[in-house]
Amino acid sequence: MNRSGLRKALQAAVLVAFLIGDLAILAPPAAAQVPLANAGVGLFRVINAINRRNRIYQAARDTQRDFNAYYASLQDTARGQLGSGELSSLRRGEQGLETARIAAYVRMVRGLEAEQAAIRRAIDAETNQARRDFNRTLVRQLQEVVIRLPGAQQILGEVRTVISNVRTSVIALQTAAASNQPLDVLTQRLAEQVSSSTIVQDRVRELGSLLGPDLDRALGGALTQVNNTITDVNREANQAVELLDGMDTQVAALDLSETESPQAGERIGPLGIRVTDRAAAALDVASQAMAFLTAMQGTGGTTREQMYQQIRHELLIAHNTRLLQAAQNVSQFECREVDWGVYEAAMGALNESPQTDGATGSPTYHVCFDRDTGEPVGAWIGRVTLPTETPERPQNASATHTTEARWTLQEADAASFITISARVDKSFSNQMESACYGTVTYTNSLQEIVVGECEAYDTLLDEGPRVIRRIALHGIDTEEFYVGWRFALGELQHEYYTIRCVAYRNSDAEGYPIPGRWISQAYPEDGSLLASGLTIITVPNPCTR
Amino acid sequence: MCLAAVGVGLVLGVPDGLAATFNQLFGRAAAGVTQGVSSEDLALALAAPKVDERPEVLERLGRPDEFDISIVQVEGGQVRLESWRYYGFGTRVDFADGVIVWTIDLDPVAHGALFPAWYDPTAFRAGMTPEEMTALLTSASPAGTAPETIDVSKGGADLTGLMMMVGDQITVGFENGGLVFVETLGMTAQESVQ
Repeated sequence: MNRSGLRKALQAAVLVAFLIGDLAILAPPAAAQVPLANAGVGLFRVINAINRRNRIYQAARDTQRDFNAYYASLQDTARGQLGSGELSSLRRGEQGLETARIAAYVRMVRGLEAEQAAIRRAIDAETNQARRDFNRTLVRQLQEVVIRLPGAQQILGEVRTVISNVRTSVIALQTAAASNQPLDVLTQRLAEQVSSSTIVQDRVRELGSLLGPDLDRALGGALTQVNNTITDVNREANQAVELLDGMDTQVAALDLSETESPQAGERIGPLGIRVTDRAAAALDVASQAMAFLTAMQGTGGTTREQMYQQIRHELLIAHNTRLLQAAQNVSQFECREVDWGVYEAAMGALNESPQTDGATGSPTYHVCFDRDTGEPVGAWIGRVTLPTETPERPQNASATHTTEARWTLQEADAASFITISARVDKSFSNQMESACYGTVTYTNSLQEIVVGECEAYDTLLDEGPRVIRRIALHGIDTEEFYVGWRFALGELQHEYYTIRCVAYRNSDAEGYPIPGRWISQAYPEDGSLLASGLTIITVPNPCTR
Repeated sequence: MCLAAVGVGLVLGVPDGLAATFNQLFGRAAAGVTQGVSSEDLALALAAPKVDERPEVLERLGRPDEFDISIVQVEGGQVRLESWRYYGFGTRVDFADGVIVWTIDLDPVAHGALFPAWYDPTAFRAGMTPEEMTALLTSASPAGTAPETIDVSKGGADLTGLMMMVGDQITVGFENGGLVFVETLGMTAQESVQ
């Protein structure tokens, strides 16, 4: 018995998948005074979330907190883009992408509020057993239809039909060749079959970005081998049949009679939300995709975040025109970490000189290849090596390159504190550019969620603020993230940068954060404010030293 | 202002009153968190010209593995929220009325999930009728599968006017005859006994 389950995808789909059952018990009675707008959105989201329920969901506790934290993260990110002055372009009636994006964040804030309220009402309604039963009946009806997978069945069936037909023709060709019979009609038929099979090859991509490319490549490889058979049947036919059989086995092994709804994400922690560049959002999306592909193919040593920064940098400065062009269609190429020899060969194929990096001890090399042709479309050196160890707790707050702030809650005991520390180190410099990276570390000793946010300022040109990260700490926790600056050669390097960090705690009676309600001194909306604070950390720019 | 911040350097344990002063002085840091969206701002945002960046993402990344769309009513209008998930690229892209607002990292996943990447999220338009939706879902399905309709309004008075369609790895919701929700569903297949 060789039953190895193909494991599921969908690690971080929709967090509401976690919340239904337990939440129905935790939630207070429905707020009847709330207008029943968006009832459909609320119900349909809940039904699909139940459909996606899984072991993790069933074992999950405190789902209300997860649910709230999920929406709070999105809301905070959207609101974070609407800082003082940001709305002015909208209010002035300006046109352009910047205004359009500000308008989108405004819509997002209100849209998320409406959606969250609708889902909460739908969940609250499940305190009624009749509604709970009705919803489960709906889910069963949904599953009965979805589980049939007719589309996927159809595509996989087409693949097997192609394999079967082509295999039959190859065998016929092989038999005819062995008996010295005419081959013209048979080779023509086989060529036509191979040609028409490219339609199915394209079709398998409709099975998604995980299985689709694999089947596409496997089918493409088999058909290429069949093509070779047409020109040299005696040498190639056996190998073609072998490949087709292997391909057929692979497809047949997918047992669609035992499908199940996928599991939603296993990680409930802070979302990795990345606000896109307002002037080049699509480029950011492409950079993200490329960074993931490269990181997946790499052998480690460079994080996805570092990869993203590197690729985005490469794309933005149009360092490699072909890479930029290739980014127009990310799905058509794959990037991976390679050794020096492959990198050097790729640069040669691109008519570029291989670069060297004297500053990094163990550089990584990356090449992007066109999926169809296998030709390199871009190459670069992963130049930056960042510190991987957790920064040591600073001993001296006045140290030149290290500073720390401890923020103590007024009404809490001495052991209750939030520490925000920052450390910046010069980490890279060569003839072309320099970069310095640092870490900001939040340490939370409180048994509750604390949300922190840091912004980086260019203190010379007053270019800020730019939100560099917002995090939510769930109970006693430490969160660390990197900040960084990069300079091209000759670019003005500023003497100081300022990282401003704020942290908020704001809880309801049960200790859960109140979503969508951010309390600061400026907006004391209710009495639940326990404390807030503002920490300013000024960081001398080590890149100038 | 920022030079003054450099001078301050480090502020520890700010009491509430003093913190308020600092918040005013350095208000930008907190403004992003507490900034309210007034009705007037929302009205302006809803009236602002829309930029549809979805076709560009479609062109670069292809059709998403999964997506969900919710069309929610807000004061004075409606907002279309979309999340497109690309597991092969480890990235989810969120849109508000067609504008990219952010990406969210997806963790790497094992191969084997069957996603209905035959659906184009831009083909789902607000205001589509159930009849139009039936035609769209049937033509998009590789097997030509027509969706089944589930009358949700029987569930209670508050569900009046709701209707659900379930098709080939997709669910669609209507409220009072208009499209309000779409979600496509990946499935996991088992590897059979050899």
